[in-house]
Amino acid sequence: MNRRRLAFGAALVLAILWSVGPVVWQFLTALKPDAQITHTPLVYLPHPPTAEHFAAIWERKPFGIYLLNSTFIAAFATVLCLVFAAPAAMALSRLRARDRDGVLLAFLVLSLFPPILLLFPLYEAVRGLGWINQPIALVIPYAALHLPLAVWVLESGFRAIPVSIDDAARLDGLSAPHRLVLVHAPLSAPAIVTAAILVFIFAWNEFMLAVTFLTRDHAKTVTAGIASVSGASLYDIPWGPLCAAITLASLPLFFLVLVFQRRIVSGLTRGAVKG
Amino acid sequence: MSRVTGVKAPANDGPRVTVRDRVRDGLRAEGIYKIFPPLTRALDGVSFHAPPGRVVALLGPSGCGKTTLLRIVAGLEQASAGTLTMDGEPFDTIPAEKRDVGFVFQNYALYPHLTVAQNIGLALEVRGVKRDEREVRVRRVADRLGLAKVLERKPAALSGGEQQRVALGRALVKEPRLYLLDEPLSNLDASLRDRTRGELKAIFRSVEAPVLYVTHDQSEAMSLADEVMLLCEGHVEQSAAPHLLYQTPESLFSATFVGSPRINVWHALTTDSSLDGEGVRALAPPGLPESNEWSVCIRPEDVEVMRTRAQGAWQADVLLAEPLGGRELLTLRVGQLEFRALAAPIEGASSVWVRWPAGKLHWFPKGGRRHQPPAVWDTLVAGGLLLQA
Repeated sequence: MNRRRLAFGAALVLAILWSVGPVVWQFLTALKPDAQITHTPLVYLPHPPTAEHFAAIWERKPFGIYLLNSTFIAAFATVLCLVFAAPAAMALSRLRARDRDGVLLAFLVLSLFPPILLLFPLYEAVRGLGWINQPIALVIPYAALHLPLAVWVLESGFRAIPVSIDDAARLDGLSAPHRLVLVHAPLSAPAIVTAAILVFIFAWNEFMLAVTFLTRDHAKTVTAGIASVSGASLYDIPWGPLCAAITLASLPLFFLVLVFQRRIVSGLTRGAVKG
Repeated sequence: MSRVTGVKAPANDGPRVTVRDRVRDGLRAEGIYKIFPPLTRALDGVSFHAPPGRVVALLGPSGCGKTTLLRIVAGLEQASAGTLTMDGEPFDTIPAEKRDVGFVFQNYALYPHLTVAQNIGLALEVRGVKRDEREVRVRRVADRLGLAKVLERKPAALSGGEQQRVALGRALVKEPRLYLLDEPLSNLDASLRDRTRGELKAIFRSVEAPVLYVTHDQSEAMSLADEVMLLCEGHVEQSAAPHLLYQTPESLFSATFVGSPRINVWHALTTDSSLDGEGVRALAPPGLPESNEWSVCIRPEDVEVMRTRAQGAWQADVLLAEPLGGRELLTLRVGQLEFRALAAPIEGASSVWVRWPAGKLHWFPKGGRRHQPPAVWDTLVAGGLLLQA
């Protein structure tokens, strides 16, 4: 028994190192003076830590505007996505199991298509509509691309609501939109928070569409912005400022997940064990 | 049986109602069928009438279609065929949201995230009833149901009995056109159930709308309803006032389903002028219609039990004597026929003499409806079925 626990603990530590390691390394790199970043042998801890890269990125690029753009676009995409996903999930959760599973599977298959397939048609559409450098060029595709994910998460949450509560609400005179807002949403808050955060994270991290549709510096999101951080010459990779930028870009997500951690876990595991 | 009530006075501040006699006919169902794919017939041509202010109990074993019927009336299920009318107007074309029914669910189906007051008041809020009036109406219902002290609590913090009353309050506060109750007492413990049954009866007496009450518990149906509609495998087996259902069951199913302890059944074949079955033989009453097999039934309390031999009596072995307070429930055997009798205590006797008085017998030909025996049988077979030597 003890050995199993020990092995489990070791596996856990490895998994944590595997996922947290790069983030920590990146953060440490951001704090190192230039000379220590590429120094051999390796310098593990910055001495002394410096904030020069953070200052540099803030000075050289409109980094605050990138963050604002990202926040704005991801937030709107999330809201739009949920506005469409919630009614779909509500209807699906009340279908017969056989019909429902077919539709859900179709959603899953749809989400398996690589987004790059959509890049060129989308670009043509965005250009045709004159939306290059407009937030809406990203808001709508982000919402649409993550619809299957949101439907999946919301559907499992809604399905856990007893049908009789739904019936009671109907007989109390609540229309379907009323029921969604007054009954389904509050009763499956964990699922909604989970779906919202997942969509927000994906939208925040999205790079390909952002870098294609946004060309003007002040319109860029944080991912597209980071990609435009350049060094003194073509062959100079500015590791310090890059790591500082990535750290700054990760912080909002980090806090978001920290605050809603519990709800996310209960939202993801909901419906997994049904009593 | 429609009934015309007086003119409803228009409200002073409300929209003007055209003053006319309103025919208040209540709910009528005609030939309701419900077929679940592929071929399950849940309801097989059910018709009934629930007049205003009357309580109709839908009674039957599980799976007989009573809850399906209730859900169709509520609009939560679509009937495969048949019509519903309310006060003479089509009812089945109205969506569930607008049917204006008060429904009490078996599992109460309270909104877990709302307080008791919000649970009760939600329907009024949706209808746009003003806040002041809403509060007055919610409070009135809460006072009546003894919920005034728990109005700010969430359902999870209530006892089973309180949750049940909130479910009832949610239906009452709307003052709906129709009350539908789906086994509302089945989740309560025995003593609470008895008490709540009494309260329900008082409430039903005060409402003007028809009440449909689904239950599988015959004592609930008998004590609460003005009319009991007995359902069996999707059709109405019998519909009658409770005492009539008990006294004159129309079929063997009605006879055996209603009444506790259960009615005794003797399966006998007619041979010449006698009835023969389960090791017991009796003289057939004269004029007994030709039918190969009869079910002769008697309620346990109608069986006469005597300590000494009497004319026309059978000697019966006592298999079991269960004391029930003042009386004993006896399980007796004559031949291979086992039956029960509710009688004065027999103080440990191992055999007794019993009579099945002819006037108390119910006759059912195999697979058929009740045979009403001529009154003359009572005198001819006076003292009970005669045991043949």
